[in-house]
Amino acid sequence: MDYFEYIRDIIANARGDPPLKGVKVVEFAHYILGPNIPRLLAQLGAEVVKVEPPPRGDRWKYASMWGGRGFYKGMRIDYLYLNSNKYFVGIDFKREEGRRLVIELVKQADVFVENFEPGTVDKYGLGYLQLREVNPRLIYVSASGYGNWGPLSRLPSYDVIGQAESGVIDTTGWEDGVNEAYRLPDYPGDWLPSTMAVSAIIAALIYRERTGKGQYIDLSQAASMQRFMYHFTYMSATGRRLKRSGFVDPSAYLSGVFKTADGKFVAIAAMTKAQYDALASAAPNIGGLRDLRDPESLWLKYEAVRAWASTKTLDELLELGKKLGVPIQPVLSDEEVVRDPWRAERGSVLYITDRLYGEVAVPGPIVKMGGTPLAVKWLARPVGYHNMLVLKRRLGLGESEVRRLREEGVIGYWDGQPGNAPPPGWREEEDPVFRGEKDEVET
Amino acid sequence: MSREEALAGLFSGAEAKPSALEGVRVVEICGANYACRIAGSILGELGAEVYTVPDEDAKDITPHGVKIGGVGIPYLIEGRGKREIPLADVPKLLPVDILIDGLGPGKLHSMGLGYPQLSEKYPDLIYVAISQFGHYGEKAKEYANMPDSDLTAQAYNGYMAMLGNPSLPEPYSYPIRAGVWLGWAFAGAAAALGALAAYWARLRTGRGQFVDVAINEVLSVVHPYQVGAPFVLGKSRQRSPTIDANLLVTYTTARAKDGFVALATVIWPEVEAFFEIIGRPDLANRWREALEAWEREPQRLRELEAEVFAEVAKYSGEDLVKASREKGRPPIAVVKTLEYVAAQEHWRIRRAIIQCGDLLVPGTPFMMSETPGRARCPQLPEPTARA
Repeated sequence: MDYFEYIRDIIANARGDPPLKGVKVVEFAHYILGPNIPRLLAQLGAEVVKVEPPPRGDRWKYASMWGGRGFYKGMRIDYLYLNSNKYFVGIDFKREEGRRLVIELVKQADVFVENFEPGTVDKYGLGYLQLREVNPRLIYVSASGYGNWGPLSRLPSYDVIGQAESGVIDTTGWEDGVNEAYRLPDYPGDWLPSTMAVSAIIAALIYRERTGKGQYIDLSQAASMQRFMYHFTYMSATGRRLKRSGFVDPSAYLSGVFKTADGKFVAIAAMTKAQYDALASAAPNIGGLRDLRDPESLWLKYEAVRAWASTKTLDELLELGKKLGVPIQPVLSDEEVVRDPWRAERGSVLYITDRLYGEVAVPGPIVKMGGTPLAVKWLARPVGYHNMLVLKRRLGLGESEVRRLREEGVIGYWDGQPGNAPPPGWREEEDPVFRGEKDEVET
Repeated sequence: MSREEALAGLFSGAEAKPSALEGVRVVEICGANYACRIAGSILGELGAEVYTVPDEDAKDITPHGVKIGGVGIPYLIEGRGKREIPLADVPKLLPVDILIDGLGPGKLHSMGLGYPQLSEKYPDLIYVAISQFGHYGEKAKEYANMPDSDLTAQAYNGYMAMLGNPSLPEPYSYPIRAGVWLGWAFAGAAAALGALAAYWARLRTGRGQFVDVAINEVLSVVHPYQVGAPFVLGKSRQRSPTIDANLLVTYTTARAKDGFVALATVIWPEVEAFFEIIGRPDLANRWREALEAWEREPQRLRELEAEVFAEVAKYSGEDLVKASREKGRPPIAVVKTLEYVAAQEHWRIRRAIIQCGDLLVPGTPFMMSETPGRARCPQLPEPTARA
């Protein structure tokens, strides 16, 4: 059988349990950095309970996007994705009875994730030093800009602040002539560290399997980005700064973004000598320049290829790239990403039918696994939506007890503002999941 | 003892502590694919024993050709703690727990080391494939002989389309790259996560499995905007080097009197606080109105933006930071240079950046109390050679 067919078959026929089935996570987090960790754990099959103080909870849900157009049936689209596959409970943890409910959830949990300013959750008895007494097997993750200790630990952070403090903004853009500073768009200062944290968490689970010991993981978003900044090494080895270089990868023999004859942007990167020589066999005027890799020469080579690339269509360049073995790919727009047939085939952009929100295009799982399929099963819910389900099934409370907690304000629900409401037309009496009678997906 | 001291104390004595992945054996066969090497590095920092197949092209990929001890900087950094093994000896090393294949789809298969062959012999093997377009499907086959790169990954993930300033003269107006290997970093992190999820599953099932990572998709499945924006707006977003292209507020960098600052206004009270700091509380209502008219009259936001940035330019960075601290929000920071960051004590004591003789190298982000991530110095084959 053809290799590609063989692999397609094992991915398509993956039938096992998801890899993290049975792992229980309590999320006490807001915005992106914290919540993306449980999002990925839930994609891998973990059971995630997101605890929010009612009625507002995670503030990120209210941020206005695209002039208010970012809301889809009452919830923001990226919030729906970021908080998919989670159970939502609204607990007033500032009250003793609420705090005790959170503690009961923590006693059963394997992983706890928080990303408040250092010291905040300790005030409610939910810091690592407190929760390890309750559950010594707990893997507790604090995610913050700079970590929970050290001289900078008290600085506030958001992605763009973490970018500024880490130095990554100083790696991006142009130098000598164009003096502008660009934030790296779409908040990678949150998404990258949180993606890396998942490996640390699973490693900690593996360690706990051997030893029974939980631990504390103190994730810094700035340090996570610094892990990929070879600039420090360059600087210390040469005594010079590694200059910003726009679209040129300084590690390549030749690279850049070019405009094609049909008006498209295309990235070309000859990373190796062989790739350069192959490109030079097609593009004129760059033979003999290969081994010159100083900034000026990289620019000279870029300009030479620019003139040539502007006479080729995108398709012609892609064909050449395939034939010559040179990395060449288009700069895709959002729409091209969503409509990409390759992504549809892989399930990287997929249409799911959410029980409340109907058919929605969602980004698919981060990796594809041959033994254990990963899935986006349902999208975010407003604050407290799963109160009854979680308190009944996880904590074994009776319905009358849950009603009492609700009446006394220990638990609570959404406020109905844009970003924090069920879809229009939703009715409590018609929703068995809200009433705790059924799970989102019954297995 | 304060909370901070107690927490810092949890991380003392790192060298004497065990690693989370002790006993886990990994081999990476990466060629010049650095997403693959980064995946191996993450597992290595978490304590796995990592073998790497050396590659002359990979050694040569380095900023402006700078070599240290005969190898390029990325190779030096991503080679830390790894043992080199020639490709021909890999069969003798087997079985391992995790094999990371970065050569491109079908390459190892044609050498008899593909998943179909190895899984037959070693059913508990975790095989992580990391390539441009994955190891199955028409596109994977079509592009099987085109190598990957970070730049093309940032392009195909739709990331570069949002970065740069379209109003500059050509070609400076073209999409630009994130100045770190963001496409490769995301893909490497995804591969490590997939490998460990499979390892965890294997503790239960006893079986290994195949994990497929496509470098050209990871960034755009983790980031939700490339999919979410066209789904609700029915169109692509446009690059916005000034205000944030999603929030459409001053969540961005800006030029202060003496350098650049980062402004983090996300929710509306932060926007209002910021306008008060620059002495223009009147801007809040106008901004709100311009936001409501954004689709019909996008130029209104651009005009306001210009007004705001003109105000910011009147203040020094430190004054803005000070005012934001006094007010309690929004977070504002001076944009730090690499030189400034490199000298800061904070990153040294947290081992995010470590000093190895004359060299500064990235450490590890895995700050774990029981099983600290390994922040290693590179092994130099010869005394540090200045390039």
